[in-house]
Amino acid sequence: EEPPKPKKRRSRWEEVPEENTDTTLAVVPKEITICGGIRVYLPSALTGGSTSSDPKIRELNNELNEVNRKILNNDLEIPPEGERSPSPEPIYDRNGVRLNTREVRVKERLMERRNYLIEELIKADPTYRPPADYRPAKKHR
Amino acid sequence: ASLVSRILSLKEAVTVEELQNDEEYTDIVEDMREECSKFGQVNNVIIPRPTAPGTPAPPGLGKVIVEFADETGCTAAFRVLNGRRFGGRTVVATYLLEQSYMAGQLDV
Repeated sequence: EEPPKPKKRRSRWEEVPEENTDTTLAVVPKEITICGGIRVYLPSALTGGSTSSDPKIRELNNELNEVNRKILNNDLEIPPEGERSPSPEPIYDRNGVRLNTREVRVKERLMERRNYLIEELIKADPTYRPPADYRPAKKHR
Repeated sequence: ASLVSRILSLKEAVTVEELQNDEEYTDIVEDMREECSKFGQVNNVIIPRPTAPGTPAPPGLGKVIVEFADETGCTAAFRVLNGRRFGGRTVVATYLLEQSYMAGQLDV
């Protein structure tokens, strides 16, 4: 089922959304002052989230894009045998199917990282709108 | 005064270790040429490689020098590539003066 021609190697360049490579894109201010001196923050979706001038927000956005890409492409970067840390004890469900396979564990870690990055963006950027499927992590101890 | 040129210089993009590996080197050159071609016609991509130990390092080692056909392509690439990550590192873009490039002075 493998396609006959070799798959295109992934470029080392960080992926940027199409609109960011469009150099004709107008510059939208992050905040505007309306009459009465009230300052209004424009949503980062409008101003272009990852083009934020705050390097911390840009960094968070960049990493979030990277994590999203890994999750979508199932790019789990599992190191080869011999370079992996020991696996935890296996957990099986009622039918004897293993629940905590390596892939599942790596994917869980990516999802946790994604949640963390979204939480940080909410804190750092008042105009940030979390994706529709984002649910705040349950804080438990 | 902001200096504009058709020669782009990218720092922090590559490490000397990566350049020692033939396969990685070819990949990096291709990644650079492919990405830069999105902004304009690329005449040449120069990525100096480390020489044998004990011999002086070639000029511009550690940099990626991209010669565009014109300034328009070069400035467009500068705007997008400066601060963007390549292989996990944040790239710093500068322009290289035409006369320095022509004289092979890639360290400036």
